This record gives sequence, structure tokens and C-alpha cells, in this order.
Amino acid sequence: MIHFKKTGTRFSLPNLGITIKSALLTNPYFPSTIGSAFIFIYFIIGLTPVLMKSEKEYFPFFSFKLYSKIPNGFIKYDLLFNAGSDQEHYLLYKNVCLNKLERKCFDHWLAGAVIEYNQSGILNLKPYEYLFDDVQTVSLVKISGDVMEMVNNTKYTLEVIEVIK
Amino acid sequence: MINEFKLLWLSLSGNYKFPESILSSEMEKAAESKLLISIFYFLVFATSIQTFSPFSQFPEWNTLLASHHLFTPLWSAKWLVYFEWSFAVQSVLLFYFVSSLLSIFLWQKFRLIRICVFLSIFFYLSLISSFGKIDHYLHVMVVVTFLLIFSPDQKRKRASFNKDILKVVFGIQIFILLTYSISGFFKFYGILDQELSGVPSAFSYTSLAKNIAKTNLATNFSTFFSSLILNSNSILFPFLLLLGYLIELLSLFIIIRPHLHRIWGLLLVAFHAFVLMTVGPDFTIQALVVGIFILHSPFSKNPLRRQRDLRNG
Repeated sequence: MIHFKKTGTRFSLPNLGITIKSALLTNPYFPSTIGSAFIFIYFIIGLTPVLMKSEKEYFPFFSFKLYSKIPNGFIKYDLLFNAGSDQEHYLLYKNVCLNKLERKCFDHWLAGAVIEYNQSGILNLKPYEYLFDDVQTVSLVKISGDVMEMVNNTKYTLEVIEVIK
Repeated sequence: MINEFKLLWLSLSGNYKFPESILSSEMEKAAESKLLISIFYFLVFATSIQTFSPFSQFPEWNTLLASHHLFTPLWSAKWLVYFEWSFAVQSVLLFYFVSSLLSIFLWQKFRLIRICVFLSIFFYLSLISSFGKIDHYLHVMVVVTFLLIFSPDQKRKRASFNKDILKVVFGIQIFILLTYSISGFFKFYGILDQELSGVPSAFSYTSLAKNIAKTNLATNFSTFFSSLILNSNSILFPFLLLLGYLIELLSLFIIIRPHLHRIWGLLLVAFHAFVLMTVGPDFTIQALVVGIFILHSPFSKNPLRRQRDLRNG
């Protein structure tokens, strides 16, 4: 049973606009003023950081801009522990010992610390200091390359930015 | 199902008038809406149970208790610092559990219960997002609980009850479908931007594989189809990716096509399943919300109602 009335008008962009407008206005269940205003304000606030080209997010408002570009290359910052020894390992890369909260937190802190370092030249790693107790050396490193090469062949460029310990 | 695909094609290429059949039997649609909202509140309760499970998508409760030193509160979680940490975390989890449990039976009677459910899930999301990065898989559920605060209380028995509840459900549908359209818009903008910059975009053979590699790198986790897609070049993969983008983008259009809600709900749920099996981000909770409000939309032509209409001539 098809309840569709086809008038024969060809599809066009201006027509689409009129169609949306008239269909919404004639809909008896269109949300109340408060509901419509909330939805409108939600997206205005959610989209503001995107329009301002900022990484900031006004929680709980969100733009839903996810995976919008194909990653061709990558740059990641990490801490390399015990470089050159048998116990060489990274804080984030291939570290399966981290729980969800630690991974999120360290990733975020490290990114912030690197931005601050690039702006002021001062590297503030105070939140990490308790991680340095049981290791011989600590270096802040930049890992870059092609995402496919990295995942398929573990090929990447490693650059030591600063030796911390 | 074939009819619905036919409708999809026709409606994308033709002019539209709001079908009269959609406007009929308001009471029936309101009854369906109430059932859907009850199922939604049950889903909220189910997610609250998950917060106590060590095997769920949420951070484990004992990990939360042991992570006070990592806590960097968002504005909405700053009040937690005034309480003893384990008491604050346990209170947020229990508030979420108790309010969602009560909402299963009492959401129609008391607005206060609906407000409590919204606040509890909002505080829970604030808590788990106060560790660096904000999680996005609960945003739609939080906003839906907020919009449901405005659904009418049954005990007042207003004449406009049916229409009011349908307005709330339609508002929820507009919000959900808009999130997908905006997401789709940014993806197509991304294609344009990358094509104009001369770098590989979603049109390239490796586009899906690169998205998978990005997630793999960030999470150290392989998805169900990751090895298959990472090791083969096929035109099918970018095609599927672009199809997903298109489904997202056109969601806005589906707002005014109630008879397509069911098929579009199915496509969106399938889209989330495809993303989980390939790229990795887990939006299962959002897919379930889409399943409730779009796939089982009270504005679509319900197959059971259709059968009854056919029987009645």
C-alpha cells in the first residue's frame, strides 16, 4: 500500500527547499517553540567551534564532525621509555596495559604539553612524573609517517624532541 | 521492503505532499509513541546496569574509583571535587541506576523522574568524559532524555495529550536525523577539501583502509574486517564508505518522509554495524536509540497496522 503522491515535478535544489519547508510547516506534529529552539541552539553551539576552527568543545554540545577527512599521514607524540634497551616501550603506542581512562588521559595531556612546548619552549610533564620512577630513560618523541605503512609494516619516522631523564 | 525501496527512489526524485494517511489515527500513533518511550527508558536502564559490568563499553567502576589522579573535570563535573572521590563516583552511578529504574514505570506520571534521568545520565557522561577526551557515544541519548522532559504528564489528561507526545517524538526524530546529516555534510566537505588540495580523499581505493589504520593506531585494537580491508584494494570499499556518507547526508531529507523512516532507520542501524565491524567506533547505544525512534517510527506505516487496514478494506 503506497501512500505517495507524485506530482511529476522534476527534482531540483530550490524545489527541495520548498518541499522541506512546506512539509515541515504542514506537519501538525512539528515540535513546540521550546523544542525547536532547543534543537536550533544545540547545533549553533555545537557547530561554533568548527566554524571558528577550534578544537574546543562545549560539552554536551557537539558538532558530530567525525572522520570527516581521510588520514593520509599522521603525527603522534609519545614518551619513549628505556630507549635502546630490551625494555624499550612507549607510553601509548602498542601499550596494551593502559586502561581506557589512562589512554584517553595520557593522549590528551601529552598533546596539550606538546602544544605548550611548541609555543613557550617549556615542557611541563608534571602529571607524568610518577611514571618515570621505574624506568632508566625517558624521551619525548614524535612519531610520524603514513598510517597504512605504520599499521601494515610498522614503518615510521621517530624523532626525539627532548630527553627528559 | 521492495515497495519501500521504490518509495525511496520516487521520493528522492519527485515532489512531495504530506500523506493524509500519516495524519490519521492520532491516538494510535500516540499509543505507539508511549510504547517507544517506555522501551527507550528501559534501554537507559540497561545502559545504567552496564556501568557496573567489567565487560561493557563504559569504563569499569573500579577503574573510575582508582583514577582520581587522572580526573580533569568538565564544567558539569566540577561539583564532584567537593566530595570524597569514591562517594562521588558511587553516587553518580547509583543515581543513574535508581532514576532509570524508576523511569521504566513512572516516566509518564512524573516530570521529576524524567528530569532525574536526564541529570543522572548527563552527570555520568560528564564524569567519564572528565579524563581528557570527551566521549560521544552517549550524546544522542542524553539529548533525547532532555527532550523527553517536555513530554506531557499523563495524570493531567489534557485534550492535546496525544498531539503533544507526538510533537516530542517528532522533535527527537528531527534531532537524531539532523546529527547524521551534519556529520554527512562534513564528510562531503572533507572530500571536496581534500580533492581541491590534491590529496587522496574518500574516492581513493585505500580510503576505508586508512580510516581503519587511524583507529587501529589510536586504540591498538583490530576490528572484525580490518585485516581483510587493510590487505586488499577493492573498489567496493570506497563505494561502501561513500554509501555510508550518503545515507548520513540524506537523513535530513527523511525527516519529512515519514513513510521512509523504517527503511532509513534500518540503513542507519546497518551503517553503525558496518562502522563497528570495519573502522571501529562503537555507537551501539546510539544505534539502539535510532532503532527505537526511527526504525520503529510511529509516523511510518506500521506493517501490523497495514495488514489490519488491508483486512478492513
